[in-house]
Amino acid sequence: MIKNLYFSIGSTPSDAADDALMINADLFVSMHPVTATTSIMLFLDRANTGGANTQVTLTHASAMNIDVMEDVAEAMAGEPRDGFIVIADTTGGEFCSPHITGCALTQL
Amino acid sequence: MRNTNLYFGLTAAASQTFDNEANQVLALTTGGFNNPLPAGEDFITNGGLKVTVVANDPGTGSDNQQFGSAYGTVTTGDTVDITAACTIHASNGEITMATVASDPINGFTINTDTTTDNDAIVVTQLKPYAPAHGIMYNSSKLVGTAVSGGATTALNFVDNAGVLAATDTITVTHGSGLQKTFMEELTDVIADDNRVSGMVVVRDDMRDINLTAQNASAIASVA
Repeated sequence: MIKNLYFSIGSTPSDAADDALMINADLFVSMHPVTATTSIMLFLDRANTGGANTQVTLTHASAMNIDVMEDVAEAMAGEPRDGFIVIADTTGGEFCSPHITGCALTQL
Repeated sequence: MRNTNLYFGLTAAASQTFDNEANQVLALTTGGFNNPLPAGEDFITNGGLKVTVVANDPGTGSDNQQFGSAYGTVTTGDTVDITAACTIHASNGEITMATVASDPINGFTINTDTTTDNDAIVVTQLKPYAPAHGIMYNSSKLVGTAVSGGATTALNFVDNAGVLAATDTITVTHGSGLQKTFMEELTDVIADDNRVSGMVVVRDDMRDINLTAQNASAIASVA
């Protein structure tokens, strides 16, 4: 199954460049804490230039980094029929973890 | 196979010990505890750290350490988890221990007459919260696993900075000569959908968790 992960940064409407991103889950490389309230997901470059990675920074409740990582991993292990997996849709208020409150996209 | 992600807890739990404590505030330092300091007022309530004290002359007077009713009968030498009495500042690392007067159930009051009796108050990290503390890799980005020493195996992952001609290396220390055993354990867990779902802890130095309970390869640490 081809899985894709969806993120949006909270713009309303979410209609400007880089307001949202759907990225092939196979491009996911790693995730780690940044601060007590943020963790970052690192993907291979979604523009496929071989350049710097694509980064998604998730904001969450304090000290919940590893809980969020577990929830993200659990979501990615899911097998929805359409392969569409929402990790953090800030605009729509839908998150794969109850601890996530927002996200930021960089290196797009 | 379902997607599996491998977690490595790269640092041991930080701790800072306070002796001769003269007030109800434990000021964590970047040198003594961790750099950066924990942030967020809910860091403790979300399980980020614990605070314990070795009781010394507990009682009810100002010349005693005082414990709230939740701790039951405390005697000298008991190690008491007083995390429930503690709150943390949003950013400066100061932990305030509620007194028994303000919280008769979970509070803890230091010996105010003889502050030198207030030793062995220990703050211990329970969860990762900085880049160096841990990392989770997509198992499909594991490109090579090689013997790297008598008791170590190097796991090479696709570079997470996006550099094509580079790899990230995680080194697992295990029992001497048990590289193949470790590799078999790792692939067995990755491949078995019935045993794993989502994130698999390969080794967590902070929480002392290994890949399997049996730990056939005697995993000891990771870096």
